[in-house]
Amino acid sequence: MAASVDPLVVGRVIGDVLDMYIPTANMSVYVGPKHITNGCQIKPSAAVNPPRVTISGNSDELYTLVMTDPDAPSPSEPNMREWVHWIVVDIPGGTNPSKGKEILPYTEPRPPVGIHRYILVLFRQRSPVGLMVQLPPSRANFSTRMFAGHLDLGLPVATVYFNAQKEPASRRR
Amino acid sequence: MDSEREPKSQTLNRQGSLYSLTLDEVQTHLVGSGKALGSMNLDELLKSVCSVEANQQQQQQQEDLSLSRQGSLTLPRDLSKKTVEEVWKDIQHNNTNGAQERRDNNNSNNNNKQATLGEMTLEDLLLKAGVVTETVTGGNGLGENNIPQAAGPWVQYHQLPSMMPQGQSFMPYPPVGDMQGAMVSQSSLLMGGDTQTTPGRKRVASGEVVEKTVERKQKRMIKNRESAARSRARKQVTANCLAEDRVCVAFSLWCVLTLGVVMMMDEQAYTQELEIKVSRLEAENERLRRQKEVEKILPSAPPPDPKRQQLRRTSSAPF
Repeated sequence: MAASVDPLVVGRVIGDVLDMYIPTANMSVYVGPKHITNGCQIKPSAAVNPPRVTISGNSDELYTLVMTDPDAPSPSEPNMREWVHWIVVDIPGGTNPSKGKEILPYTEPRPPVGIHRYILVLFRQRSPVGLMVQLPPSRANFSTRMFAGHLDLGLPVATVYFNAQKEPASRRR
Repeated sequence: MDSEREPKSQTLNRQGSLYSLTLDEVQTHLVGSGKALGSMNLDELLKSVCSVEANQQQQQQQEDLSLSRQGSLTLPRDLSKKTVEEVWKDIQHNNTNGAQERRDNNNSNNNNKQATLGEMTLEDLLLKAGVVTETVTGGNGLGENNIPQAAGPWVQYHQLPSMMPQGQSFMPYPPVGDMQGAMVSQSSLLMGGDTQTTPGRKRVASGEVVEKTVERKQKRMIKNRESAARSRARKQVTANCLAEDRVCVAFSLWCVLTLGVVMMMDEQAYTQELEIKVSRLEAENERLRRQKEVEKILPSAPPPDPKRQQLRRTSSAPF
């Protein structure tokens, strides 16, 4: 009877990528016209452009957004876990990533095999990051936990994830 | 799953129609049954809401209902434990302690499907809506609830055999660049007879071949199990979202009905007071009328003596 209903736990986002945390901020994410709720299905072709993200918080706070895929290259053999798609730092509270510093440009989801989870994680910074950040050497084998540790970001304040799988070839063109 | 084709406005409309369907149902039951709100069968109402929702769900498959949730749904404990009549009593008597006896009575009615609205607590309502709510505790639901609950399934999951092939049959892949390209190059390496760690089949004794086959079958089985587990998890996430939505619908329905009952009871109390006043006035009216009748029949009483004596004295004074 003690089954958790938290989609982040059921969907194994907490565990595979993140540690248990208490949400203290709000983040709303749109891919195209669609509002993202945890575990919803998105076509990769719809996510060619960066999702539109709005975050809560005060303008004197700064936030970091990370978008990552723990199921690379396939969920059954995620040897490249995680594949990082997007990193934006110094986003002022109450605004969106376009007001922050994009230190790793957005790349669209391109899941080759299986159904991948694409996770957007929001952290509240303790201080401006600016030039202090080291670009990860490769998008593959990224660790959100370690990245947060390096920048002293602490635990996340908000998380949203969606699922995506490869579209049939005939549809894309 | 073509769920993303649906525009946001359509999703909102659907959510709105669920809500307006609920209110229509309320109206229908009120008018059609002719019963007082307090004796309406909430079970039927809930079932009709849930069945409509289920039909819509089938049409749209795994469409989400655009209710974003980043924490658990926490219901105020005081509210969830009270019945409608308790709420009314609180309003009347301005105390919050009278609910104990009635709560005990209600627990024994939990399985009674004909429970009337007055006997049904919010928790009964939510349980009937098919949502597990016994983990709801008051106060700061988020922090205290999530941590102990989540530990359970997390531990269970880790008991599954974890397949993280370390340095198995994949050649090193290009560090940066298109992931799909990397995947293609990996599979082509495999098919091309990668000899780094996987021995070529044709060059080994038959005993080892059998062993390899068994090993491969086992790995395949484990992978299938894990894939099934992931698939179940995805379904569970969607199911939980829908369950939470049902809780929201049930809760708002309860609020609407409680308000209605309170207003109705309020009106009843006012009417009762009016009726008491009217009957008092009628009684008073009747009394006055009888008095008037009596006065008509009997002559009015003579003026008191002191006045007459005064008159006589006045008239006899000059003599």
